[in-house]
Amino acid sequence: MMSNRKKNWRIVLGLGKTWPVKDAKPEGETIPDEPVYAPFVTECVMCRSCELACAVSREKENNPKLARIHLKSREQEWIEGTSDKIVEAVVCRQCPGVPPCMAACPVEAMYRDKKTGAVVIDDRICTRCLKCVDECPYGSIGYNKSANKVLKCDLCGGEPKCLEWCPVQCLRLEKE
Amino acid sequence: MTKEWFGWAGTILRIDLTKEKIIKQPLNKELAYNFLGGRGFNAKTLWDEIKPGIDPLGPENVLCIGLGPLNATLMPMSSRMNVSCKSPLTGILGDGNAGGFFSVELKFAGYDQIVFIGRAKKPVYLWIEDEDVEIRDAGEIWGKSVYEINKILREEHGEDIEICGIGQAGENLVRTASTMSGLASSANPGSGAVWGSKNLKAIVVRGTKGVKIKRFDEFVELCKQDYERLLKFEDGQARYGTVGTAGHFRYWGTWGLTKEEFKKFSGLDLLERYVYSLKSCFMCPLHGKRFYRILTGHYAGTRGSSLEGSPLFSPSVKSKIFDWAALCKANNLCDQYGLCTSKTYFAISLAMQLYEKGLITKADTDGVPLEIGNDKAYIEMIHKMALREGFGNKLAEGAYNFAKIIGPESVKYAGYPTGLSSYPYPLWDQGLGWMTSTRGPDHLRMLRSVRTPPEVLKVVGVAGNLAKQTVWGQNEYMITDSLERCKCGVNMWEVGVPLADPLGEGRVKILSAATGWNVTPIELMKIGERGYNIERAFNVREGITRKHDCPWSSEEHMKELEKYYRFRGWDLKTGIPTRAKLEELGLKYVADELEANVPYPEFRGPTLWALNKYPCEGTRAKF
Repeated sequence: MMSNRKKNWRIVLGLGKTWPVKDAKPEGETIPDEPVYAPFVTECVMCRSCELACAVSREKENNPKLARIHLKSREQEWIEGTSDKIVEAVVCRQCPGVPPCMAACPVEAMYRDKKTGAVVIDDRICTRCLKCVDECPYGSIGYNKSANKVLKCDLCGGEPKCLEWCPVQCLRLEKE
Repeated sequence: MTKEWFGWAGTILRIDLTKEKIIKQPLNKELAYNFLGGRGFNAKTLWDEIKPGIDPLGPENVLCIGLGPLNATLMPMSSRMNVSCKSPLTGILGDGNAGGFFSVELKFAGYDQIVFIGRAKKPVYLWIEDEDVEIRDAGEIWGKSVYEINKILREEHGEDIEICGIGQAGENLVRTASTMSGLASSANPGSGAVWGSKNLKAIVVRGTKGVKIKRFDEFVELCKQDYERLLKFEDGQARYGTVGTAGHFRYWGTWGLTKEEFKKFSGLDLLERYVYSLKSCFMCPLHGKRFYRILTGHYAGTRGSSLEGSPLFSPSVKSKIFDWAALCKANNLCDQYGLCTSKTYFAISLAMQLYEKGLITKADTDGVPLEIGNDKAYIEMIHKMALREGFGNKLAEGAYNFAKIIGPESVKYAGYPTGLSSYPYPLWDQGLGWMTSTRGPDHLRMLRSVRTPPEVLKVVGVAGNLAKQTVWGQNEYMITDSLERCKCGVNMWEVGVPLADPLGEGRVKILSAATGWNVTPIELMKIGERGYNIERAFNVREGITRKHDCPWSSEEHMKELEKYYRFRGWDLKTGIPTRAKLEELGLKYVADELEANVPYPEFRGPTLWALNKYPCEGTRAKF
């Protein structure tokens, strides 16, 4: 049996749902020689629903600044041709082994969730020294001053709320 | 003690650019409960603060950006903002509605409305970070395109900001310039030129405060319901965007496209060849915008982020340009210069029409052959308009004003006197709504009953009565615009109204859960009516009367119009709201002012400057 410790579930931003080819022509009209089209695969549309859904469900606040997932727009770079991606998701990758954030924590406030393998912060132990925030190589741990809280994705115990609100289903929970 | 606000942010920001003074006013309960937000706030502000007959490009004009109580909340499609002023394009009430993320960030910073008055001595931009508000020097970004200012300001202030501003077109006081939220969401008509006239280049905002919600769990539950309902509309809007809905093309077919032309121009073709990915505003499951890129051909290398349907009427149906690559390029240039695509295209398509009729020649157009179907000439005209070069200087006055400059014969082709609509007129059941629209004829000013389920019309009690339907549809949209919900799906009733309850019960529930304000559906409809009446009164002050609602002598139209006035409670002869109606809506002060000053001088369009008085600077867009 596989040990729980080796689990590495994480939230990934990838391709969304696919639209099959469908006729766009109005009823009763026929257009001869219609070209053949390929199905269209959707990607993140950058509506930021995931951010707000995260803050709403976890912090009970209508404020995406308190979210544990953030979308970074690369719109400008894409238009200029310097970036292939239009959007990047900044969310904890739940690094395997002992991740830098966990190693940096002086009070051992971080632990692995048994069900998902996610790295979780125990708010009661956390001293808000913010060492984990500095140590994360991907910048996916945040801190909110007004709430005095370190914000890090913990996969909502295996049922991430952000996924529920993604209209194109491009956010998914990858289970390894 | 000041009231604690839920839903609304609770502060109105007033910026006096002449005196460089920043005033924060607590939101007044009267204003919030009588006008709701966004478009309603702006309509009231314009009525209160603008004197009739002023030059829209003078310092007396007032520019307001209004947000609603449900803006930036979990309610789907809550990303809109209203930008209002006296329009330099039309000369009447000018209000535009833009999406994107700027409005959301502004709400998070804690403001319900920004009102700009006066004129800065030198170019400035406004910096807002929650409570910190500052007027800063814009020397470095003046003369730059919308794409460039976004880049420069992000480099300076960080990535987590939102920007709203103008491009070269606004600076050059082009009358079709628009306010650009982010890179590509625009609010017309002509508000960009008002920013330019005030020497205001941009607003940069970072907001961290969020929106306070009164009954949180109930609100989240209602939003989830609405969101799941909206996901079912995927097939139209979400899939083909506003450019490609099958409905669109059916109508376009009836507008004289041949089958061959129709074939070249389908939503699928666009989706297949040029669309890279879909683009959405804040909290929107329908994402009507598109990222597009052109890989081959004359326009190879063009990349942009917003392509919308309705502006394409002018270039495609009127000017017979069906090449998506050219249309994408034109769209991209308009975004960079900060031009409203719809109104800009309208002016150029009109010029093409006049060129075809021989009313203007190559000698007038600086040697550019403006033949129907010439996409390169079309695109050249966009550059010329934005920078007011040569012939472009005339076009930059907007379609109707341009026709006036060319001569009375040309005016016949320029459509409606406010110069707003490029579409044939009137359209289906919408005709009456267009005639009586408070910002000039427009498809976003009333619900179209063809796209409202018949049972809804029955429940509301307006079925089969065009005048009643129009009044209801206009009031509905006033509410939607004041809540700052998107009317996405172009006039689909089910989409524009939260929770799609014919009598507005659902909408009231959602509003009450967010704000704690127990309003009834009937009160809410009154708010819609109140807003519409004060907007009308604003236009009456500018000289709009029945004559302008129906500029042609058609018995049928006159009859419908009279019925409409009766339902509205407006004077049958003049179209001016009656005292009885205004007092019923709590607008006695409006009735008093109108009564004391009627009749107003006749409406003659916006004050036009001598062509050599306009600024005409900046360099051509790169991409």
